[in-house]
Parts: sequence; C-alpha cells; structure tokens
Amino acid sequence: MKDFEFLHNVTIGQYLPTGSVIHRLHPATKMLAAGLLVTALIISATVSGLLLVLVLTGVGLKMGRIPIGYAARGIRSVVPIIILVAVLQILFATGSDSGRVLWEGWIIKLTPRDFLVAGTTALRLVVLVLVITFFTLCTASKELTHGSERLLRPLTRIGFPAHELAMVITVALRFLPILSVQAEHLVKAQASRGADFGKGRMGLFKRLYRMMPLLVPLFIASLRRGETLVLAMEARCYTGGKDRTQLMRFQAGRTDIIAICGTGLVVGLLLTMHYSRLDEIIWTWLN
Amino acid sequence: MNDPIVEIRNLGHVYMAGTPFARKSLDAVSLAVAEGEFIALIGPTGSGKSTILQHINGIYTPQTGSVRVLGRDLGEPGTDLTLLRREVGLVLQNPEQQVFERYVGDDVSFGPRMSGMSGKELTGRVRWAMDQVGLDFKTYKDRPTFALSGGERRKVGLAGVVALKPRILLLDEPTAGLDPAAHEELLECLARLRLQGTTMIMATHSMDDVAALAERVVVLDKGRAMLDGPVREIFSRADEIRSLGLELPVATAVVHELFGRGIGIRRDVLTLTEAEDAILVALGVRI
Ligand SMILES: Nc1ncnc2c1ncn2[C@@H]1O[C@H](COP(=O)(O)OP(=O)(O)OP(=O)(O)O)[C@@H](O)[C@H]1O
Ligand SMILES: [Mg+2]
Repeated sequence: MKDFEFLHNVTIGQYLPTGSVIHRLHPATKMLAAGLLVTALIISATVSGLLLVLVLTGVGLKMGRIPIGYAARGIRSVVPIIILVAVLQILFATGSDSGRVLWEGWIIKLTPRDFLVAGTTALRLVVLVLVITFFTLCTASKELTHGSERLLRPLTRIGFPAHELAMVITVALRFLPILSVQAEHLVKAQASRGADFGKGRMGLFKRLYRMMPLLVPLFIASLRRGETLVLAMEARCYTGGKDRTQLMRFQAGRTDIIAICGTGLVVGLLLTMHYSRLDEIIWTWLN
Repeated sequence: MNDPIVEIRNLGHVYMAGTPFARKSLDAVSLAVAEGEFIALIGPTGSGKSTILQHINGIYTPQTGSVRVLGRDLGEPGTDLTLLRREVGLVLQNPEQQVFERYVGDDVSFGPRMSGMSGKELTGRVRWAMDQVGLDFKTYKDRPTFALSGGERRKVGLAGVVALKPRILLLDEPTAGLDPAAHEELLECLARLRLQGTTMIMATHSMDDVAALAERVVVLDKGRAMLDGPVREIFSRADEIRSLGLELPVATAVVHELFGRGIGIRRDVLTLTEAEDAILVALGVRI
C-alpha cells in the first residue's frame, strides 16, 4: 500500500464549495431530489435508465462546477465491492433463462443474461455512489440539518422528533470522511512500527486481510470520537427541539421549483422505463 | 565525512494532488543528515515539518525529487519500505494516533512482534523500552491505553517506537503537552538514546528543546528550507528567525534583549547557564 492518503479517494461525504447554482439551491430541494433519485434507482434498475442518470449526473456536476474526475475518484474505493458483487451475480444468479448456456458445471451455469444482470448491478452501484457523492459535494453539513428538518417538519405535529433525526443524519454523513482520516492515522501508526502492508499493489483479498487488524481499533476510535462529539455538544449547551432558532435562513426560489420538476421528470422516466420493460425490448431486439 | 544516512534532494509534495483540495506542502527541500547527528526541524505551523518526517520513513514516497535513507532509494518501486520502517522509527505528532492497542504492554510490543520477536526476548525488549522512556514496566504494562493521560500516552507512543531499536529516530513534537518534570525526563531520555548512537530528527516548536539537544537546526517556512546550520549560528541570526514568526530560546532572547539596550554582552548563548555566565561577565563580576 503506497498511498496513505485515504481521503484522497474518499469523496462521498466531502463538501466542495464552489458557490454554483446547484450549491445555492435550498437544502430541502437538494435532499428531496437526491432522495427521489436514489429511491427510483433502488426500485428500478434498467440499463437505459442508469445510463440516463449517469449522463444527467455528469451535466449536474458540470453545472455545480465540480470536476467530474474528482467526483469519479470516489468510485475507486468501492470498486472491490462492485467486482465482488458482480462476480457473485455471474456465478450464482440463476435467471429463469431459456437462452443460450455458455458454460455449465457443478452448481454454476453461465448465460449471457447473467452477464447482463451483473453488469446492471455494477452500473447501478456506480451510479448510486456518484449520485450520493454529487449530493454531498454540493451540500454543506449545516444545510443537511436545515434541509432534513424542513422536510420532516410536517411530521413534528404528530410528535416526530424531526430536529433530532436531522442531527443524527448529519452526524452520520459527516462521519465518513472522519472515519477515513482515522483509518489513515491508524495505518500510518502501524506502518511506522513495521507492520507489513506490503509494497506496491496487492490483490484484493490480501488487502482485505491486511485491513482486518484495523477494524477493532478503528471501531473503538470512532466510539471515542462519538463520545468527544457528545461532550463538545453538551459543553455548548446543545439541546434539540422545536424551540431552536436558526442563524441561517434559506429561501426557496424559482430554481428550486425547476430542480424539483426536473428531478420529478427524470424519476418518472426511470419508472416508465422500468415498467415498460424497455431493457427487455432492447435485449431481445439485440439478440 | 561519511556518506549521509538521510539524503533528501529537491523534495516536493502536494497533498490531495489532482483534487480541488490540492495543497502544496513541500517545495524543493534538500537536506542531508550524517549518522549520529541530532537535527531539529523548526518552522511555523503548516510549514511542512511533519510531512518531511513522514517522507523519511517511507509513509510518503517522493512525488518529485528524491529521498535516500540508509542507502535505499525510497522512490524506487522495489524498495522494501516495511524493512526500512523497522530501522527508521517515527513518533507521530499526535499521541492519540500513535497508540492503538488496548493495553500498554501490547502496544509497546507491537513493533518487535511485527518483526518476529517473541517470548522472553520480547518481554525483555518491552521492559527495556519502557525503562528508557521512564515508564515503570510493572505498573503500566497492563494498563488499558484508553485510560492514559496525555503525557503517559506520549511516553507509551515513544516507547513503542524505541522498542524497535531504530537507527534513525524521527520525533514529531515529542514534548508537546508534558508537565515540566515529564518534559525534563523526556529530554534526558532523548539525550540517552542519542548517546547510544541513534540519529535523531526532531520537529518541534520548543526552541529551548532545540537549544538543549540539537546540534543542527533546519528552519522551514511554507515548505521551503530557509536556514540550515549549527544551532548557535542559526540562533544568532535573531532577526531572520523572528521575521519567520519564530522565537529564540529564552536564554538567547534575554541576552539579545540586554544587547539591544546597549549592554556589551556575548550573544552566542543557548542555555540558561551560559546566559548567567555571559551576564556575570558583562557585569564585570567575573572575567
Ligand atoms: N493529510 C493532509 N491532507 C491535506 N493537507 C495536509 C495534510 N497534512 C498536512 N497538510 C497540509 O500540508 C501543509 C504542511 O503540513 P505539516 O503537517 O507538514 O506542517 P507542520 O510543519 O508539521 O505543522 P505543525 O507545526 O502545525 O505540526 C499544511 O499546509 C497542511 O495544511
Ligand atoms: Mg506537524
């Protein structure tokens, strides 16, 4: 392992202020849009839909003045997971498939369809990571609190702890980069004392194996970190609840309406593609 | 003079290179260290001290320029950095990062264990290392590390590195946050290790530590090496030091102040005893 700069590759959970149109959207708009998109991506996973979202995310990043290369960097760290999932899919997913069989033996049966399914899953993970990265890159943590509070406000009437939940969401998201910094420190400390992290590139499993001794200390460190956070909040007399007033006020405007409508349209398209079985049609047509 | 044990040439480093957060931390730094030297790295916050140290034990490999340590080229892909790190010990700036095992004994023994030591030899080594830094073996070996005070944690961190018996010891602000007694003890410990022939490079903000221990000072500013020379000579250039936002050792500052008030006094003074002598001479009490 050569690169001890973990944050270098973790872009999920990072915030990149550029002051663009996208950044200036109302926090609730950004959260709603991201939430809708992610839900749509989870319900429906058509290749055509995924490609559409991929392109649109690219456009969004451009509008947000976020370097696409930087946003895409975050994918690197999930590549091992994606590959693992894809391989499992190819080997063990048994589609109700009638078509050609490429190879068969033991409990494994390979069909072209398996590859399609695996490819879709991989693409879907990539797109999900990108969309969430995009969202965090253009949303500051204080906005997250405001946004989720705003979105959950209707529920406070029935006694729902909107503010508290908002806080939990915010803290959880912001913990990701902190965790990776923590991991970086730990690896540095262990490496400095002669722990063998190998040189240069390593295979996936060897790498995972080397990571094992990190997990427990990392877990403990995060617990301690959480404890410190609680102390810091208490020291500043933090109390949640509806009586809190806000320093920053956000005003929704025309761009917000446009953004929500745009997202609604995309989500509609995605669902239509899913229910009209567009992929099936293209697939049979290709065969 | 013998070949330098550490040789840094035109080393440049950018954190988070290729991202919008890129930050230049080193800018063509060159530095050669002979075996047995004690070098102090000083410079304002963010001047690149920690970054240099992490290049000397191969946590970072050179992006531009070259680093040779103990005859190995760290930029070479084939260099075994794990073996190198066992000979070049680094005590990280933050003791929270340095200590990661659950019990003090386990933590101190981590390094030797990694290099394959076990049994009686290991216990002996741990006892020796804890002795060196002034931690009582019996009292501390089974202490859980989360319950250590800041100063104790610093000592445990140092012991963990000393336990490797490194040829080069890199210290990142080793005395920060210690009470006067523990501070004194630590300086003595470093002086002892020095006598055993360990080459030391210490980053610090304490000019008195520099005066007490080092023979050579390298002054960094904004990732560049501004001054490099014997301690006495560097601290006699008071104006340059101050213009970089740094202080002089207390004793040096006092005689400079007296000189500034028109008293004819020696200014190449580093320690309090030397200052006393100089003042007595200036007063004509002793010739
Ligand atoms: N992990 C990191 N990621 C990004 N930038 C960093 C990182 N570590 C340090 N930097 C930046 O690199 C520069 C040099 O940092 P470095 O830690 O080497 O300074 P230093 O001289 O040790 O400072 P201090 O006296 O405060 O410890 C600083 O501008 C710092 O902000
Ligand atoms: Mg530092």
